[in-house]
Amino acid sequence: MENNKKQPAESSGQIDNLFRKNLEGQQLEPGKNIWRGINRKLLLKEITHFNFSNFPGTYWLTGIAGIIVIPILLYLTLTPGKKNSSYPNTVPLTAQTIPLTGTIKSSATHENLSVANPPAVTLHEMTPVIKSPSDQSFNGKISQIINQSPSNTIQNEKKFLEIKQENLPAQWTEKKTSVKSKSIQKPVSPADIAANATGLTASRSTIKSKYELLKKEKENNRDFANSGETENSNESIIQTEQSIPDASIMRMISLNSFDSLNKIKIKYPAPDLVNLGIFPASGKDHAVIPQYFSLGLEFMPEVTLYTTPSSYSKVNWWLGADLSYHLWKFYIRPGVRIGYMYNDGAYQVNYKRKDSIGFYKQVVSYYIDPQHPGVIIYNTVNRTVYDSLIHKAIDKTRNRYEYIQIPLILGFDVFESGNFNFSVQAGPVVSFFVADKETSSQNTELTSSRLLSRIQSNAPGKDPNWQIWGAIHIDYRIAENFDCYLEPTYKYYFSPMVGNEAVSVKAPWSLGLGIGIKYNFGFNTLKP
Amino acid sequence: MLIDETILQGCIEGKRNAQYQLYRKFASTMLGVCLRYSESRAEAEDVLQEGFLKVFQNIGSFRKEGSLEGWIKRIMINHSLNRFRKNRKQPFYEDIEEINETEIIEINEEPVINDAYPAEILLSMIQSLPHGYRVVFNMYVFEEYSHKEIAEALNISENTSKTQLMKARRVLRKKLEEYKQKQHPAFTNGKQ
Repeated sequence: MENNKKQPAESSGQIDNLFRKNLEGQQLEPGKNIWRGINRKLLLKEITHFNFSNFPGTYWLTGIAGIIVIPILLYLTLTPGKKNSSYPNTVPLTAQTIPLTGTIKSSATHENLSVANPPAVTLHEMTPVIKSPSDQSFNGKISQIINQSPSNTIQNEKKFLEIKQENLPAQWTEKKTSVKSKSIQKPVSPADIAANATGLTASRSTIKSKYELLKKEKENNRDFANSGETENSNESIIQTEQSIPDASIMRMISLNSFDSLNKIKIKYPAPDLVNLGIFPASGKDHAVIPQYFSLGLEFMPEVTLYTTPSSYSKVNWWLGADLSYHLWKFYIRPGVRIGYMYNDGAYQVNYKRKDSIGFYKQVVSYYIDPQHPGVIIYNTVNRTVYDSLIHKAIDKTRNRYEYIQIPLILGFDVFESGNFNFSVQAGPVVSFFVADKETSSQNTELTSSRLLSRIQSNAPGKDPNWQIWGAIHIDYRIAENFDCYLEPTYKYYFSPMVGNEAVSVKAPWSLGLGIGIKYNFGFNTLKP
Repeated sequence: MLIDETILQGCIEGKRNAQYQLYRKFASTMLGVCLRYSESRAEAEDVLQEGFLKVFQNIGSFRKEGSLEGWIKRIMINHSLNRFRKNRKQPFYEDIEEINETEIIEINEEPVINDAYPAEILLSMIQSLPHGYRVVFNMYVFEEYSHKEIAEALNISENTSKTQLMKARRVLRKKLEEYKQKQHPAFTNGKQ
């Protein structure tokens, strides 16, 4: 089989030998950036070749801790009304004026606090107030006094509460007080806002949670009052009251009662959006537009289906995170996913074993023995004989290809029912090849010194691939800020994901089922 | 080239330091191999980088029955060939008549190779060959594949492999003559 190689002309052999002699085993120092590149790619592969089975225990613990801590931190830091700010420089008082007169009584054990000169307190309608935790505690205690100590004579505060109670549920209004009030031009209560906003987004997204929050706070205040800590609380209240202006006391009382207002930040959207009909027009029934963010984690098995040829169909696995911004019934959902695509590869391996099968002695020189004329002495070297026959083998492998997918999804909430929410999504998606793990023929250890292979597989391609995405998003609220969801998806690929030049492959489509959880935060409203 | 067992084991376990040691040990030799299959140093370094990534990914499958250097070299060559296959846009040109003609011409030509040439010059000559010529020449001369093996590896016919080799030799011969002429004009003139 080697004959055809050993036939060339002498000059050809000389050329071959010249190059072989000079270049075989040649060593050249590679650039320093080569190792840096290898190092970087190894690191990337380690990240992308995520494998649960060999994931170190410390990473598991860190991940679990992160899953627990991050949502808590997000909740604490991003929930409106719990942002840190320095008291008492928090409230711009501009819009409405409520003249106050009255006396503040804390309890029998403390002296009355009198407001000698009625301060002109200006309450900004739905003014955003950022409270520190200590302020909140303090406000809660103030509220407790109002509710549990009818003998206290904080008349204006009760008057204010009474106005608010008109729109509260029956169980909230058990302890109505009969305090007269002066006119307030535009009373605004959480219930007003709830009523206004219900017409926009139903109760689930923003208003319902705020409504329930108010309810909980009310109940907490009652519990606190019944716990026998009234006296101590009053002491602390008195101490605090003595150090702050009366107007601030009034403001804090009202802010505690209007806690939901504290959490609402009013902005004014571009009028054009309203004019275009994208957002509801300002009016009695459409006072505010809720907005919030969602941080989601999703796992999605997906079947990519090729009509021609059908044997190319594959199962992909996607793991991703996304951030959604919700505004009224619309949301935009960019994200990033990492996907694993598996493919069965087949290789025809041609190899030579080059096993030693014996040796022969090659005469390199000879001479006539001077001592014994007529005797020829041969100088020989041992030459090993190798098995140079070509052996063939078929090597079947399981290869893995990894992609990063960048979706940009637009969604629309179709309808809600209880804790369920149904929405539709559509948008472009682009996938980038990241890495592969091809168990190619060089890994088949065939004890050969020569090995060649021919790939006979429909390996996935490595060029960026665009798809169009459509999905139904079924969302179920499992906790106040947490949802779980199912997401049946359809994707149409604009080009095949396989790289076989020999076969005409039509662009595939795919069906997937996403399963995920999401954390909702940053509740807020817009006012048209 | 012997390799420390601890380095090999470290590579199998994915330890970066061991991987670096292995790289340091074989990179210069493998760059020489990659350069022969590439048309530029940049391309060769790309192959070297990707080849070492494959080595580190698959080193667990190395069974120590052959030499590690041979195994790594094989990966580099296979990777070079894979790149060649992927980048190949035009099929090899096959012409049996041309093969015979080429062989006849070559046999009748006088040997021109008697002097020593700097390795870098010879390397640059190989690199300047058209891609198909270069691959076939390398596989035939350095890796000692037969035309049948080359044909199977590159998915071409044996005749095409022969054609490519002959053309490669012819081009190289011409380049050697040109180089010789530049270096020793008197000798060349005198010969004429």
